[in-house]
Amino acid sequence: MAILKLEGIEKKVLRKRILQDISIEVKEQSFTAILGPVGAGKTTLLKIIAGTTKSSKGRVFLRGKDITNLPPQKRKVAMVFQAFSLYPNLTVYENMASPLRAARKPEREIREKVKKQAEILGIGSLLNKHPYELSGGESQRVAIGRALVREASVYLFDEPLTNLDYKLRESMSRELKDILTAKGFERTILYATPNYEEALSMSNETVLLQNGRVIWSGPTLESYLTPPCIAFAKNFPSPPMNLFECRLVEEADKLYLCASEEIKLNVTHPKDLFHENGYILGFQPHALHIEKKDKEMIPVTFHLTFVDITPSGTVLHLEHEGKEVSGFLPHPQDFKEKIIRLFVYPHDFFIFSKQNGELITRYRSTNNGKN
Amino acid sequence: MAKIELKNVTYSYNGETNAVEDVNLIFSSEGRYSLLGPSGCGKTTLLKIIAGLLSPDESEILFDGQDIKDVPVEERDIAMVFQFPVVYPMSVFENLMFPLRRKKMSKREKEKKALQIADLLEIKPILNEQANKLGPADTQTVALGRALIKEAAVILLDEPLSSIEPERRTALKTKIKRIQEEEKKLFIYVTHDQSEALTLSDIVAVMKDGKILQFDPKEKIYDEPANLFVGYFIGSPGMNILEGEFKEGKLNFGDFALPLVPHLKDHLEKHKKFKLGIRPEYVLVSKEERSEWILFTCDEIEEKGRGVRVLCLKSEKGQSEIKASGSYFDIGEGDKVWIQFPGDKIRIYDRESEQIIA
Repeated sequence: MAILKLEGIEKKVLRKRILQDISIEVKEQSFTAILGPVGAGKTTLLKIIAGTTKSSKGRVFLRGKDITNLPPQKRKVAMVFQAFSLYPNLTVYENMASPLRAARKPEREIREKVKKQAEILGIGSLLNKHPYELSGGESQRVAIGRALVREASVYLFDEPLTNLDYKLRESMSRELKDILTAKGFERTILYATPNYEEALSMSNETVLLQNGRVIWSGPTLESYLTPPCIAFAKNFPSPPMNLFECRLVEEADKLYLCASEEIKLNVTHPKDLFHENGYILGFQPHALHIEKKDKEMIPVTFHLTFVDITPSGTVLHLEHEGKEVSGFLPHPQDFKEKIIRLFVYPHDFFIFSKQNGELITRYRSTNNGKN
Repeated sequence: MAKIELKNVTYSYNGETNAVEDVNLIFSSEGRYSLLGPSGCGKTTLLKIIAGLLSPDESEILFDGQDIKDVPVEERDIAMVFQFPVVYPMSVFENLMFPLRRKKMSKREKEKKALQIADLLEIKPILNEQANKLGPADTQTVALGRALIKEAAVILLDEPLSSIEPERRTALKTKIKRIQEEEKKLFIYVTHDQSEALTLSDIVAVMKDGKILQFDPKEKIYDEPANLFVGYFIGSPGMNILEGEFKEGKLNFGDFALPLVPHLKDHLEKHKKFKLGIRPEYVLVSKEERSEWILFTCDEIEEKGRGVRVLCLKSEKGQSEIKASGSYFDIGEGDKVWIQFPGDKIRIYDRESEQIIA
């Protein structure tokens, strides 16, 4: 059952629509990522749920109860901000205790909860320190701890790792996931991030937000492995899936899906699947390989326009017949050549309908892999 | 043409701690270099010393063999691009022309040059706009153009992308790379972001606490980190590091042991207690048992996207943890796996100094 439900949320500031027509349901104890670029409306959406911003239209339900007009302190919602602000004059202990004090909890309960949460976050030894004595990662943990000591139905996180340097982010994302999903402490979490890697490694549900609209929502990992539609394929991973418009071509009793001279798939056998006029063919950037490991692999020629070497591998900016394509190699590698040939397995192609953008099928080689 | 040599460069802001300590580097002309390290490592200080904005007392800074310590900033053959770009409140075109104002060239020549640079940087469409009203990415592009037009032999770039919107960074990186390919100059690029260093330079100096930890071609920085910090800092996730001991002809790691790799024998005889480093992508993982492979359990899986997963593997007794990355989509949490390290990918470090041995 949905613990949190948004119905037709709209937000206008002056005349500008920041959010429109947002209707989502969040399952109890799920970890939902709100994924979108800067300016998509992620923070505004979280603030509407927390009650610190009012929506212009629409309703918010928590456990079936309409909370649209409740003030933030009466909602059972806790939030951690991107620019986390700790009280500089208070110790870590007092910072973490502050929401409980505001709720007038008894001293004994405060002490127990703060100590327990501090242990879980590995900041038990910092309780008497002041914020200026903490490193970036420690401050972030305190801010997270301050949200988690509250008993809330939903916990909101607004890009909690964005301001940390990448080495810290790397270890914190794993740690944060462990803390938030620890057995016995299951919580309902909404986690806003511009970074699809965080969404992928932490969440089980994803909502794709763009220009104030939800363009897709669904399960994270399985959609990543098999993109359900073009909206997802285009906007989820970075770099996004390579998509090509293609035609159905009949040649000597055989049927081909044709995106270019080289990108051509034999679809003679699952023939009855194909009756529309247009299709979109897609493959992931990491489906491009530099070696031909297998004879069924399809060679494709590219112009190499830019090589971007990242900590986890190399992003290739390519062009194939005037169309921009990206490639990804899981290790750092520089190239001197301007024209390169890369190889794709036929089974790494996904076929989408051009009409409604939905996935029709993942390609399966026919004729024992011979095209 | 310009070659820069730094000899025993040490600098302190407060007289107590050294921001830069005993740096000796040679930048050859027309090379593409980067200074890479976490914040506070001294990389910007070093760049300012090269530019002449800071002058250390007892060091030598040679420019084509000439000591330039007493040459003022404006007379050094250097152009600099800063983290927070500064442009003048005039049009983009006038900004580009500004550094040429005292040059003895005809107006037509100057304009021709400004247009060339604008073309290279793809800012022709905004030439008439007010430069101080542009967004961060365009402002930085203008600043870059202004640095280029000076025709200095050396271009210093200080974190030029860190104040730019993430979506615009790739476009700007592409422009910087194109400039590096077309302009025969010495480029020194300061960054904390390893992907910028690996993308926009050929030779990387990794810095920490004011010292140069490694100064090598980028391929070598990745494949043969000179010490464990470099191994951890470069790559995501960083290198696996295991404390080991060579005894009874095997490499022992607490609760598991690996057979000896022949070419390491002499080194291990001399360093019986060592640390082993291996990158997660080089760890071999199999779902089937193989002889001489070691049994581990997959404790946790981290999705990295782009077809890559990181497996966090625990040894049978749970004392050792190793990360392996690759497209292991047939392995689940809790599965038994067998692992092996390819001999040519193993790096051995001294246990105390953490410097590379082999």
